Amino acid sequence: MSKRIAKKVLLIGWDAADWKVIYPLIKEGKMPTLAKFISEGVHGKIKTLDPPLSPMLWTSMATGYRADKHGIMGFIEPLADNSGIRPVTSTSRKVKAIWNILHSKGMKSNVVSWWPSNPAEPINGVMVSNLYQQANKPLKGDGWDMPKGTVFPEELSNKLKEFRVHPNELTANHLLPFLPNLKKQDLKKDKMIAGVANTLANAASVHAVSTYLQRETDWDFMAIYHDAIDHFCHTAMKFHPPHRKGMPKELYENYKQVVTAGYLFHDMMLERTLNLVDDDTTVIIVSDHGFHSDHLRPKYLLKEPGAPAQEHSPFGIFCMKGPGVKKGEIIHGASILDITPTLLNLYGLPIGKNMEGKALVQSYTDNITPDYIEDWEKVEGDFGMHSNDLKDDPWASQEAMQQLIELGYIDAPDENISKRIESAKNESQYYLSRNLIDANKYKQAIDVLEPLVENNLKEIRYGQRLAYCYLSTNRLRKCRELIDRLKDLQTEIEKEEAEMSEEELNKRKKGFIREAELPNYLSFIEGLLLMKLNRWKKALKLFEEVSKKVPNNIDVHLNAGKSCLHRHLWEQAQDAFIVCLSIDDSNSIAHHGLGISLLRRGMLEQALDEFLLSLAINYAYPSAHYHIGETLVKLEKFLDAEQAFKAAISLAPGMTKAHSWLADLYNNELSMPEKAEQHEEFLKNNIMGEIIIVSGLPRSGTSMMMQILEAGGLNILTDKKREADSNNPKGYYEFEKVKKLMIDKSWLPEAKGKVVKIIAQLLPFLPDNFTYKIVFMQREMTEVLKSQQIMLGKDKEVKSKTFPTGLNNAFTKQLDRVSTWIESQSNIDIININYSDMIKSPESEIDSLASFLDKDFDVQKIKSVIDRKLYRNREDSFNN
Amino acid sequence: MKETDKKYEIPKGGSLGLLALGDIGLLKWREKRKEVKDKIENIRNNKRKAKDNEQKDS
Repeated sequence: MSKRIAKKVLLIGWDAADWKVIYPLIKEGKMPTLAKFISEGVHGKIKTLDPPLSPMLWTSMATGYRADKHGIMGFIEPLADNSGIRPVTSTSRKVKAIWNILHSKGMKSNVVSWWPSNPAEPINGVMVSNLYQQANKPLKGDGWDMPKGTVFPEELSNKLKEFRVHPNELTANHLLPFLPNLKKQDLKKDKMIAGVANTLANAASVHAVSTYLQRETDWDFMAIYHDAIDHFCHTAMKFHPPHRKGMPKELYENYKQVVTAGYLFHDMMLERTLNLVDDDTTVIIVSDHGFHSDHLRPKYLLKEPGAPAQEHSPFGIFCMKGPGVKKGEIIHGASILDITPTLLNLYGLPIGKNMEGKALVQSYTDNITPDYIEDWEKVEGDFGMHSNDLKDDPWASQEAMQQLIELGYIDAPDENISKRIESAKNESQYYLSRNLIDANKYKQAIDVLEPLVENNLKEIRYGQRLAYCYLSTNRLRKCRELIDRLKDLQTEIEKEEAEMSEEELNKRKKGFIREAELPNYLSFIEGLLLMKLNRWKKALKLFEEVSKKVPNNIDVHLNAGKSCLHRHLWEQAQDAFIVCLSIDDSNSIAHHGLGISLLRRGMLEQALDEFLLSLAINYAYPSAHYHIGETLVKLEKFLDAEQAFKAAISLAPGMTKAHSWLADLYNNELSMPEKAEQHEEFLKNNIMGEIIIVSGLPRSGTSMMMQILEAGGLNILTDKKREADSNNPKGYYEFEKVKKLMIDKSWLPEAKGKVVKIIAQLLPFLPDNFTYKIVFMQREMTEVLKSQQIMLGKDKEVKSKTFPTGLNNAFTKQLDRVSTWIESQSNIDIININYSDMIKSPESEIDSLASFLDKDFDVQKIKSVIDRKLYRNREDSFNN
Repeated sequence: MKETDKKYEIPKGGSLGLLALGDIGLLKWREKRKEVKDKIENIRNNKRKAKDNEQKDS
């Protein structure tokens, strides 16, 4: 059994707390308690999950599982009898929470206001549910009712009831620190004042009941959840200094203090909470996500359910102090999935192997190796959970109910309720798919999204996620088709809106100012698709367009940077990565990208700094180690370079370029040829070289492409056995042995470093011990077929304009098969070049080609070999 | 547990500091609020009684 590190643990949840707000307040001395706390323990950023919706996230935090396993899917769920919807409940959670596991070990837990925790679970200890503090009714007499199931054990209800603070109880003394102009404001007109009072009253209620339980009960574990920072931020982050252009000055003055006062109040509450624990208690403070507080604050929110989550940032806070925890150190790489594994480890309990996070052992002073258990869900016994008759999968119940309606056994709910249930169901499926995408489970996400898209053709959001999944599973053709369909739909919507009256338009946009983020996101996915197709220039153009409209999306800038690197635009790449780091300075990919830009510009020391920063955040990053090696070679620090390349290989054993550098270093700089041997051997066995292939259907422009590459200075492999004729007046550029590729591959070493023409149908016979760069020619099928017919002397058919449908279908199917095969090969890089584009606008195509092949082409020389007169068989010659 | 002996002023209208003290701060403030309310009520009652007595006397 792993050593128990903590005697007791207090877990405090501050929804949406963000270092970007906290650090300046600490610097100004306004959060002294938290400042002292982090100096006595470890702290760092914690990565959220997608979608960043609090009930899903806090359940992941308390269980160690993502939403597809824990079952809490958004804010609402249908009522079991299909009569409407309700806020998510604890009975819908499918797995054990940390307090259930502790219960099974005889430990006592107090859980306050965790989201969702109503009805309260029958645990060993006290549970006060998330409905406890909600004042839904006006204050009358001595109090207001508390919903059933709020407190376990129930007999404590009357006692705990009295610690709830009703917003009507609050006075100017409480509100003035938040609203300095309160006395001048109209309380009836200004609804935000009531919002601030509600949030403050909720926080005070949770804090009061927590302090009571801290003092009056014995506990081994206590979890307290506060949603107030999130609520203060959603209400007033737009007014938080600095003043944003366009924000009315009066509103700004009235509400600019809300967020700061909210954080200060939490620091005051924390002081009291910490005063009530012993020194041997381990305390963790955590948030589920951050909240944009600077230039990243979105100006507009999309019109969609859960839209406020767009204000969330991907990194929350994590701090921990206690016995055996390091002091004053920053930790990297924490995820909200790590909280339950860390808690289990603190208590010396095994972590579920199927939990998706890890124990944050880097926080401890001693080396602790956690214990593991196969699956906590398979352990039977008393876990203090609701009985099975209370537990419920609301979506399954809803489906069962729907079936009864369809069978005519019960009446359907009225249309509005049905619509609300249907919409809630769609959203829950959408959240499930995002959760799966976040976990890189694209195929499962596709299974969820395909029916969702089919049944909701006009919901561009759903289609976009599906397109992203297709892209991530290399189903590029499907991705392209879906993007095109969604773009058409977007155009339709825009047309529809252009014809609307201002009133209708405002109604549609009610509550939100519509941002054009939907088409932008679509353009972003299209950009990623173009990157996969090696269309770097076009991809970059799209990313640049998107980044103008959505300037704060880090992924857009990261991919713009990557596209620039591929196009050797080092300065532009540098700028893109600097923007990324202004959004998130702990992004290891951005540091790495910036390092490459600097390295290529010869700024070696600065490049080295960036690579090292990248590794400080993510040590397991083989490319960063590799580039450190490359930089150190340039700095003539060969021994250090050797270590860097070795580190790269230890993380990625198949990294051929690192083996190649090591062989070179041992032979030429370090005088250790015996050490070079193993790397040379590796290279000999694994990589036989790179071959450039020009491919496509016969008559799709492959010969023209061979001429282009020859003019570009590439070495062509041809035996010139097939001579030029009227069909190909400039020659065929063929190599006889290619035709026997199916049975004889022995000639391939001859093609190493050269360009060879291979028709599409033969590509799947290529062996996998070479790497290939394929320039794939695309041409309209009608043009290809016409050209082939003429070449075969079937001029009659062409003249009679009879379209060879059978051939068309056969070729299309063959191309599909080849395309699927190519997508599954890791040793193939491909660019598709459209024949007519090459004829009509050669500059852009030559540029893409040069970037793909990493060559500097003489554009004029290449243009001179493109003979427009040879574009003879255009597509309008057949009757379809 | 590190309960301090710090003394707190308890204003009738409460304060953020009292709310931050949790259950004890909240209950103390409510006590104070009730005390002041009762006091005012008493004064009012006394005044009313005095007025009634005056009227009876006259």
